[in-house]
Amino acid sequence: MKPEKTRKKFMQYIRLFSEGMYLAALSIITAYAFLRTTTVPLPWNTGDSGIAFFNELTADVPLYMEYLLLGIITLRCLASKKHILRNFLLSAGICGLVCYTVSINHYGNLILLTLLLLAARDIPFDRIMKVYTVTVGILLVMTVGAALGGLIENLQFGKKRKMAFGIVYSTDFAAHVFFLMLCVWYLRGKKTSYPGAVFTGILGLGVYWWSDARCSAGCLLLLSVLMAVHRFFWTRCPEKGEKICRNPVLCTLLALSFPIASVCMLAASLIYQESIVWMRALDKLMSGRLYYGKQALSVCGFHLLGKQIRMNGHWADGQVTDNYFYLDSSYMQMALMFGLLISALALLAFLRIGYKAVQRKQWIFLWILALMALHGLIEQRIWSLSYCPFILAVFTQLGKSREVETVG
Amino acid sequence: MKRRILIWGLIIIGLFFSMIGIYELMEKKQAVDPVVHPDESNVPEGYEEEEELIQYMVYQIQNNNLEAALRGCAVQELAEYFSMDAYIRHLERFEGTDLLPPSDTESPAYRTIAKAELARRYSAVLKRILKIQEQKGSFEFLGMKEDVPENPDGMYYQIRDMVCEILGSRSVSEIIIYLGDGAQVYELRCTLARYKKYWKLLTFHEIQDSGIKELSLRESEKDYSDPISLAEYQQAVLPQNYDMVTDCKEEDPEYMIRRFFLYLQREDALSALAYMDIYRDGGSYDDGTDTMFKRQGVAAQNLQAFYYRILFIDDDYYNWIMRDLDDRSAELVTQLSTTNMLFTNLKRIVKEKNDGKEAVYKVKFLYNYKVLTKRVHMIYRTDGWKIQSIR
Repeated sequence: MKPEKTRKKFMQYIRLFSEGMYLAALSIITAYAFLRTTTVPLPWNTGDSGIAFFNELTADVPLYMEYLLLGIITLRCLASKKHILRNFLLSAGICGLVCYTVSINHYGNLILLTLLLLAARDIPFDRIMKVYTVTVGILLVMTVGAALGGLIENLQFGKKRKMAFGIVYSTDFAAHVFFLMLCVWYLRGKKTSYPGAVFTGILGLGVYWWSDARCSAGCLLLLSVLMAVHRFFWTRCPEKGEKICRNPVLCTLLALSFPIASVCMLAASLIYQESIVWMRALDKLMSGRLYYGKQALSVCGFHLLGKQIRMNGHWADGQVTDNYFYLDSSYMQMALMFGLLISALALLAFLRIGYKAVQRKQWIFLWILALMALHGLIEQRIWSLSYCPFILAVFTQLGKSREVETVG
Repeated sequence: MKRRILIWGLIIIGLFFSMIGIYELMEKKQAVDPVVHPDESNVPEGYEEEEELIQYMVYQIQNNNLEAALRGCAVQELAEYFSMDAYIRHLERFEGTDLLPPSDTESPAYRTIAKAELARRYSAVLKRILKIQEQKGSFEFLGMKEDVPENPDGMYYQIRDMVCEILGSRSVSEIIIYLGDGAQVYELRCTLARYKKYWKLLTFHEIQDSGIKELSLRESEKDYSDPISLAEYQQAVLPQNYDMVTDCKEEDPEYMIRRFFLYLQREDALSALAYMDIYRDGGSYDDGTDTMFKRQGVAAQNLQAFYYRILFIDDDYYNWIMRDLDDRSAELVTQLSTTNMLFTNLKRIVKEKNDGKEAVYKVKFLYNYKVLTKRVHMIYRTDGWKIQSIR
């Protein structure tokens, strides 16, 4: 075998091997992150394990995964088919920037998220979504089952007794359901059926009824409508469906949904005044997101590298507290907590994702981005891997345009 | 279409940052510039030897230079390192606003308030010394010695360790300074504290006595010796360790109240102090420095009282802490943290009186689901309103 051919084969092995490692790491990190949002009495949740060594080991899982991901990034950069140096420098540059920013603002989850999206370079996004969806799906079903079966705590909140089904908070549970259904829609794609759409709608009604999560419920209902409409067009009149999807205005709006939502949320928070009736009404509809966003803007202000902002939910540190202050909106968290540098990177990342989705004709993914962006106005799930994996798409292979790479 | 997405995307991102930029510009325009900034390049940080500090202090006293003498006092250091938690644990008492605010929570607001209060207290005691010197003519420096007991017992070291823990200093040292007025030798006892490498003057009395304003100056039986020249300290200068706020006013009193409380929420006590009525009509910070320190210190204490009142809005919780103070000192300090101001809300401003010269506005705050009402008393000075007090 010629040396060049051997080298190419070796690189292929490296790519496949690193891809397998990445998917394994993603599964572990997702499971770890997901379980932190549950009432499952795990050592790194409660610190109650009698085995101190196990406590320390499990508490350091994110750190081990970070080292592993650094290795994967290096391998994938070296084994990439082209632009090795550029990829390497870009990865190193982004890593360095994020690490420096985190040293100032102390939001350590950004490092893991950054490493995950850098390590996903050229991996088919479909594979990532399969691993992610299966992991979260199994864990969510098990968590709900365990909560209903009395094996773990099924927390209830407030006078309405909003249920969390084994998750730490009721809206967190609803967000899990919503994002999981987004992932399922992505994977099912054109195979999504009307019963699937109806089921999504029922889930929406269910989370509203049992968990009183209006945002996730509304988004789930919207999702079910979109699923049904999509199904209708792709079965009855695919050409018309294609024409609608290719509509430049619609495409642009969907592809830019994240930046548009960022601008809208920022503008609304900046101009918000409690004395204006319609603004107060809008704020009430958004459950105080504008008021607290304005408060955070006034008191904390913008910082290039972000700032640690103390936040109290209604149930802070396991106790009911009257001192409520929470930045729920993903966009306000991005701008105020993570800083302007991370905001720029995030906006560019989602711009790239939207652009790639249009390029690859991933119409469903565009709608998913839009729904995610809508949800992010009210809740802060975009930055949490246990809920939202879509930012991982930034350097991946979207669609099935890449030929399946096998060895031999 | 793809190109359009990129272009529009960049435009929208540009719009995002433009909005932030405009907001920041507007905020900068509204913000006050609260402090006078001294030009202090190439100024040594302090003195590493106790003797040097003492001689520096005596030289400044001899030359009636209160401001320079203040720079040798532990203003900055106490503001940054005083541990209220340690103070309460050891001494089992809490004197409210008579006690320095805690540095345990690293609150920038409390640091500012503490510096202002310390500058007031130190300048008051220095003024007393200068007044005594004026009565006696002039003080000559006759020497100094460290005051160490012959056989120090365990209690001696225990007290010193406790003091260091409370003050956040590396060590403390009791010194006797011998001063003479030509006929009589006097002992001026003082305590120095060491922070990092440098010594600063803590008090003009022994460790056992409390309060910065106390002064231990008594006649000595020591023989009158030759005065020691301190001419080498003629050019000596230490860094400015106090803040002198600028004189900021607003035409609209309600707007000023909103900005004032926003600064308090931001833990920016300096900007809030700039709105307080410190300079009076036609005054400046050069106009009798100790007078300005006194007014600034009183204004700072007003802010401290406001912070304490709102952060301890829950009287039941406060009483619960006071019942078992030494065990709950950490909780008290946490409750007093100014980061809690993020959870406060200025609900309403109601004009009670405004005749163009004096104004009183009733302000309602919400914190911990409780309402606190305060009255802001203001006075119109030359070209704008100033805040006199918050009661």
